[in-house]
Amino acid sequence: MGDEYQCESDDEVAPPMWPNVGDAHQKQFKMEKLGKDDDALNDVEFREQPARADLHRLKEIASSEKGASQMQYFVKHWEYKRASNALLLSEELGRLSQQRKEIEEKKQQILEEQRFQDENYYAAKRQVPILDEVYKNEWKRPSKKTDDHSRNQELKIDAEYNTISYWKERAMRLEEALEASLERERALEEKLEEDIKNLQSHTPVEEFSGMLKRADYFLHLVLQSAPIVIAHQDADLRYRFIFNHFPTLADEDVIGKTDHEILSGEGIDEMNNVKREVMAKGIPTKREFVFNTPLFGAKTFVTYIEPVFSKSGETIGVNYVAMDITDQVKTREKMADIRVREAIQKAKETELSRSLHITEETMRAKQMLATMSHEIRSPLSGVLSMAEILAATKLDKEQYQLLEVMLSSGDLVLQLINDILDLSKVESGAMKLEATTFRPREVVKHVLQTAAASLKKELTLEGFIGDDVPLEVIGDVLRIRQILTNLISNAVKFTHDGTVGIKLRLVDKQQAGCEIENGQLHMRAHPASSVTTAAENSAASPRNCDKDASRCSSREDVCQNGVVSNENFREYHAGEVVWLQCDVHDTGIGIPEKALPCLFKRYMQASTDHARKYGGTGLGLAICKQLVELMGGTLTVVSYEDEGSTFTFMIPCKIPAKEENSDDPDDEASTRNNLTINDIEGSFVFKPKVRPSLLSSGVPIMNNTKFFGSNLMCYDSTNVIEDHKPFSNGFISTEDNSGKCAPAASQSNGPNVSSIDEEKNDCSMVFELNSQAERVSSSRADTTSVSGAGIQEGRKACKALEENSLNKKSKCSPSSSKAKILLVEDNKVNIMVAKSMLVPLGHGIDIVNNGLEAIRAVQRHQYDIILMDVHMPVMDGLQATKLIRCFENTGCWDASVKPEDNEMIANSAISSDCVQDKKGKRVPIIAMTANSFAESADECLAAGMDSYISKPMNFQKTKECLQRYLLSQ
Amino acid sequence: MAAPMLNQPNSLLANMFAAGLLDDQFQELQMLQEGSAPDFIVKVVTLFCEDGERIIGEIAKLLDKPCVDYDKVGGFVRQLKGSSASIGALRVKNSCIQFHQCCQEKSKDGCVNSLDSVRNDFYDLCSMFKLHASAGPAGAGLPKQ
Repeated sequence: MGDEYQCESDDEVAPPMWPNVGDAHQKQFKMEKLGKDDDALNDVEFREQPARADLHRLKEIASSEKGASQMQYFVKHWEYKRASNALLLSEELGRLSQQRKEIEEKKQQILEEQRFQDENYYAAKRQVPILDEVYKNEWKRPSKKTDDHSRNQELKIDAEYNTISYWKERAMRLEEALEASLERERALEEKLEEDIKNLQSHTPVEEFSGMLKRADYFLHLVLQSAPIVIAHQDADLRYRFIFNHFPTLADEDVIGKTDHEILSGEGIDEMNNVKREVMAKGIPTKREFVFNTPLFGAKTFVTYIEPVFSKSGETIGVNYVAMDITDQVKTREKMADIRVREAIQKAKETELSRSLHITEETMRAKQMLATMSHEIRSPLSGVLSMAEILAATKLDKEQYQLLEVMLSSGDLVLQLINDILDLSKVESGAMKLEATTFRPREVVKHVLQTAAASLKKELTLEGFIGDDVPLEVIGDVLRIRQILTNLISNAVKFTHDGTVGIKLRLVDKQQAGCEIENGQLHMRAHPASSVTTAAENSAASPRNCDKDASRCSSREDVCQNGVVSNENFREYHAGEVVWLQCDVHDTGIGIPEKALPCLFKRYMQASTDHARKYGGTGLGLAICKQLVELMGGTLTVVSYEDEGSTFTFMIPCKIPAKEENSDDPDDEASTRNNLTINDIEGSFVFKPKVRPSLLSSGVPIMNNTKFFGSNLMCYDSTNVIEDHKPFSNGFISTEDNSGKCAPAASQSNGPNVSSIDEEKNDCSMVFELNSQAERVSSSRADTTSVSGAGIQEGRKACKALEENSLNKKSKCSPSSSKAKILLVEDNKVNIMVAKSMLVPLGHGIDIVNNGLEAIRAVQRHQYDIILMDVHMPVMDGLQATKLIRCFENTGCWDASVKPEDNEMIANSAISSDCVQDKKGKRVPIIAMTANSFAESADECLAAGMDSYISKPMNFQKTKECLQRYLLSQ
Repeated sequence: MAAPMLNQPNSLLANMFAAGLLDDQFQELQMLQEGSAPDFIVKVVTLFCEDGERIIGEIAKLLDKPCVDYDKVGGFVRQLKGSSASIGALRVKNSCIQFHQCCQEKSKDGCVNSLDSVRNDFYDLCSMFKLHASAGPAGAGLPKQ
């Protein structure tokens, strides 16, 4: 240690408490501060006035345990410092006394020398300048040599040794040196004393305050960068010290006050309570407090509260450190929120995947059902067709009965499977709707005709079509027909007597919704017959129709109604969407109110009782509803038990483009009949019994019907159902029959065609359908269901005819001449197969190999039906169909396929009238497609084909298809 | 397919059904035959075999060319598909459907492979038919089981 330590100890300031770190940090910090802002002087202020504390309180805190230990530390430190100072001082003293001793020794030496000199030379002065030397040696070490030299010089200056003057001189100089030495000694002594005094003035108090100041200063510097609030509060929770990094209040406003006096608002009470608790329990706590004060808004602080104890163990206050964690809390809350959302998401996903799984399972089950149904259908159709063929062979009565049961059960199963397939198709979304132009009036009529044909009861079937219903609309005619057929067959099934009917009209979309409501309310209020009620209710219905068709109101009435008169002549724009409303009403057993909700559910019937009594699977209405909804429409029902039901469905349909209207056979038909388009409207009734009054008018009904052009057919109800003998029913084209139809005919084997007096009912037709049973066997006239015996009898009657002829099938065919079919097919194998199917049906077949040949054939001959392959070389089926349709509409062939002259000559055998006829007649063209996908079917229908059968050809399908189209001619 | 069974025309047919060579369309033909000409099936099958052979030959020729006209190939395939569908040659029909797919994709490898499988199925069927024709009375009725 020695000199270095001495130097430090000489420094007034004691070493800081944190020797190394402190200085360095302070310096660094200051530099930073200086760099950042100009607040460097703040430090000084802190040092001068550490004013964030109540300094009186300091003494009190100092008496706490911690204060005591701090004091002890200070005292120890001070003692240590004092001891080291004392050591230094004693060393200094020692050194000084040694110097003194040396000086004394020198003095002694000098004196002895002087004495010796005095003895020798009687010298008076004994002062020796050695002190000078010593002094210089001690205090001005660097100049020692020079001093030595000067002293030597000094000693040698005055020459003449041993002269009196020399001695005198010498004595004087020595005296001067002695005096200077003494003076220096005195000065040293003074300095020593001063030092001692100085040492004494370093009391512990000063030392402490210095240290505390430094500590305070240091603390403040550190706290400057700490975003926290540090405070000390006394037992009354009054602030005695606070450090706030973000002061919103001046310190003076805080010191000596409580929280309540400073702040108000949410969180303050809580914090104070916790502080009190901490004081009471003496256990430090860490807590989060949410404050919402007018002073600093909504903030969250995490606070560490620590009790302060006095030496005696009493709590004298609390210290706390608070940190603003508002942002962190926000983040935390956000995180929590996100986590919650995540959890919800996850739960949802699980749920979703579960439901997805279930859906998949369901879909698989449905798929399986569909597949199975399909698989069942194929062999079943084989069974049925064979049974039908079997029915065509010679069988005895009992065998026939068995076969009948077999066929009817088979048909039922087939129907059921078809229903299941349809339903699963709709539900799986595989059902594609086709958009084709069709005539709603025709559809209604067809459906009624079909129903009438298979009618086994004495029911009146009626149809009313609003005047405003457009002639043609675009929609999926097959499905609409399916819905109507389904509803009608339901109605027929549950109606024992009375009327079943269809009412088709146009509704406004806005009107559509409320109208049903009105209808329903009305029904409830006046439980009248569903037929009349429905008619009365329908605002859009053009005419009020009673059950008796002869009382149908005339056009004048309609105009008087006013409601629809404008609609009648309304212009439809292409692409416009109209809403068709179709009511299917009956006077049947009705549906109990409690059964209504589950009416449209699968496999549900009004009651098990019904299921037993009427059979059926309960799929029909479900399919109808699904189909209607698929089309974007609604299906509703209004029903009264024992009074009847009305099923109403509304579907949107587009109006087709104008030009399609123009090449409409109806137009031609109407011009031929000198009628305007406005006359195409109608109500028609299929009556179960002949009314003599009506029969007597025998006016040809052809004149004002548009629905079939000039090919109106009269149906005889019971025969159609026996479709295993399709041509044995007495259908006779009215063209042949209209003139001949006499009242007596009702008793004959022919059908009865009659018409309402034209003057009264210019737009009505009545088909008087006489039951075949009536003419074959009067006993069957009253039966409402087909009995095996009845059929047998009918069959026998027909058989007798058959047996008389060589060509039994053609004899039984309705027009007593076989139909002529044009088969257009390029594949030899297919031709062979098709031929083998068509020949047994008793039709004449012409075969050509491509579209062009087909056109040539059409140019030469007239065909009743054309079966057209789609893909063919030279010209495909679609193109050929388009050209044929074009010819039918315009009367002349496209230039590319104009008949050659020789063909025209060949054709000239046909009279010009025939050519005229040919022009107006639309030959049914059936496509034979290899794939029955929707798009392919679309193409076929778009090209003007009437229908399609999918290949490979199947006897049953082919027969049905031919029947349908040959019958409707 | 037990050997002795091969002599029985009906069990032969039954086996052809079971093996998936034929489907119910063939039954349809059998049904038609019962109503009309007794040699109908023989005629149809003979026609089918001849026509099919011709078509397969044409397709092979087309596929041999360096630049394959897939539309033409597709046309032939469609023809064969139509014929096989008409007589109920299920397996040939299915092979043709795959073949047609390859034609649409214009994949030569696919076409060549498909031709092989179509050819195999076709000759399998034809040989079975021939066996059937030689084994029993032409166009025996439905396999009665």
